[in-house]
Amino acid sequence: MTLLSVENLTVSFPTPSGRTNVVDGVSFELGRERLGIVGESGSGKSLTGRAILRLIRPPGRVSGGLIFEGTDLNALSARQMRAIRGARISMVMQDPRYSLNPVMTVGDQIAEALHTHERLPRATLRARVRAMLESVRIDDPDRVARLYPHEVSGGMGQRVMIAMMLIPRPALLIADEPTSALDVSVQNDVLRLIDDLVRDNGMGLLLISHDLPLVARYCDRILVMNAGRVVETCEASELAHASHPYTRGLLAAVPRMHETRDELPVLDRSTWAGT
Amino acid sequence: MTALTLRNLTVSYDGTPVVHDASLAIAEGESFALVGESGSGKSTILKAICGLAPDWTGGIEVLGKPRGHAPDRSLARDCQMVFQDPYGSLHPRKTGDAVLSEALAIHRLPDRDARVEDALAEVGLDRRFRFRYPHQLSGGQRQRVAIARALMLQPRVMLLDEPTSALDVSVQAEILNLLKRLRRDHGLTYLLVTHNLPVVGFLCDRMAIMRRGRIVEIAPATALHDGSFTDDYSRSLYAASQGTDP
Repeated sequence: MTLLSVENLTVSFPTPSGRTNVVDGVSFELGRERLGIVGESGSGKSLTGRAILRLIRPPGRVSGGLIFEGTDLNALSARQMRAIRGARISMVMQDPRYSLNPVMTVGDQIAEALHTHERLPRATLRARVRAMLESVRIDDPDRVARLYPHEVSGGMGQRVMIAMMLIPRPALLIADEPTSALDVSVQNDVLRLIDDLVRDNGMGLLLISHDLPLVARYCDRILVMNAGRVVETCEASELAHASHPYTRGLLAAVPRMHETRDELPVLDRSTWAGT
Repeated sequence: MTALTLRNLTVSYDGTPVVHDASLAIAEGESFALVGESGSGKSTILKAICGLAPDWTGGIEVLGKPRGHAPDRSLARDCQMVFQDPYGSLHPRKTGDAVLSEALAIHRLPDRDARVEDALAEVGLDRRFRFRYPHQLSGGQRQRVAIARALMLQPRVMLLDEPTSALDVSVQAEILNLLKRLRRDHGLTYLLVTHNLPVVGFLCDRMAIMRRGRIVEIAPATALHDGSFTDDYSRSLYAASQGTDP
C-alpha cells in the first residue's frame, strides 16, 4: 500500500541569474517500508524531506504532487497542514543541541508534542511520556524527564527527539541525518532504535543521509540524488552492484577498514557539476 | 628522532582534569592517530600541545625541545594545527591571502607574495581563490585554505583535529589524498584526531585509543585489518565501526 507518493517534485530558489531548481523533478512512492535518500551536500535531499512537510518558505517555490494517505498535501490549508505535521508525518532533525528547546525540560517538550494533537488528562499524558522514554531505552525516565537539553548527552538528546517525534504515533517518519552529530558507537544504537520502532509500529521511514553504507544497512530501498535529480534507485542489498557512475564514485570514495589503496578515487566534478 | 613526546600529561579545564597521565612518543615522519568518542580528551591533547589549553602538568616535547606554558613563537614554526570545522576556523572577514600572509608578517619572513602563491598551489587551489573570502568557497576549498595556512611556516609537525569530519565523503577523499601527498612530499609528522577508524587505516601508521581521558591502548594501524586489539574497549569501538564498513 502506498503511504506517500511524490510526483515530479520541484523546489526552486531565486538566484542572481534566475530561478534555480534545487530539487528537479523528483518522483517516488513510499509504502510502509524504509527508504533511504543519499547524496552529497547540495544534492537536494534535505529539501525533498522538507518539501514533503511543506516547510519551504518563500522565496522558495514548490511544485509537483504530494499525496499522503490519499490526501493531497498541496491542497491543505496551513491549519490542516499543522494537524498533519507531527501527528501523521514527523521529522527527526540532525543535531539535538539545536533542535530542542533549551529552556524547557525534556519531559515537558515530549508532552507538548502529544498535547498539541490530542487533549488528554494530565496523568495519562505523564504516563505516555514515561512509556515513550522507556521505549527509546532511557533507563530512568522520571529523572530524565526533569532534565534540560544541556544536561543530556548527544545520544540521549537524539533519543529524546525521537521520543518527541514518535509519541503522537505518526505513520511516516522523516529522519534527516539523524546520526551525523553523534559518535560512531552511539550511531548504531540510535539507528537500531529507529529501525525497531518503525517496524513495531508499521510505519514508513524516509532516511536522509550522505553516508551510503549506513543507509544501505538500515533501509530496504535507496534513492541516490545528485544536483536535485534522482540518478539511481536500487534495492539496498543490490547497492554493491550499483550501475550509475555517480553512485559507484560515492561508494569508492569511502575509506575502508581494510584499506590498502594508496590513493582514494575522487569524483570527477566536471561531469557532475552542481554539487 | 622523536618528533613529539608526551610524558604523563594531565590537562585540566577550570581545575577539572580531563586528560590523565597521557604518555606517548611519535617518531619523526610518523603519522599517529588519537581515536575515541567525544569527551575522551583527544582534542584536548592537541590543544595542550599547541598552547590552547595552558592548564597542564607533565611534559611536552616537540622535536626534542620541551614546551613551556607561555606562548612560544619558535614552536609555531615547528608545529601547526588544522581544525575540524573550516566554517569556524577561518576568519569570515579575511581573504585567503590575508589569512596566509599573517603568519609570515608575524615571523617577519620575506617573499610573502611568492610564498602565499606556492602554498595555495601546494593544496591544489589556483590563483583565482587567493583573494576570496571564506563564504565564497566550498567546504572542501575552505579546508584546503586552512591546510595551506598551517603549511605557511613550513612546520615539521602537523596537528590535525578531525580534518574531514565536517565534509562529504567525496570531498573527504580529496582532502585525505591531499594530506597523504603533503606528508610524503615534505616528510611531515602527523598527529591526527578522529573518531573514524577507516580514516586511520588510510592515513596513519599507529593509533592510541582513548577513553575518559586515558590512553587505553596503543596499536598499529594494521590492527584494523584483523581486529587484533588487546583492550576490551578498543574491541568494542572497533566492532561498532565495523558496521560502517560496506
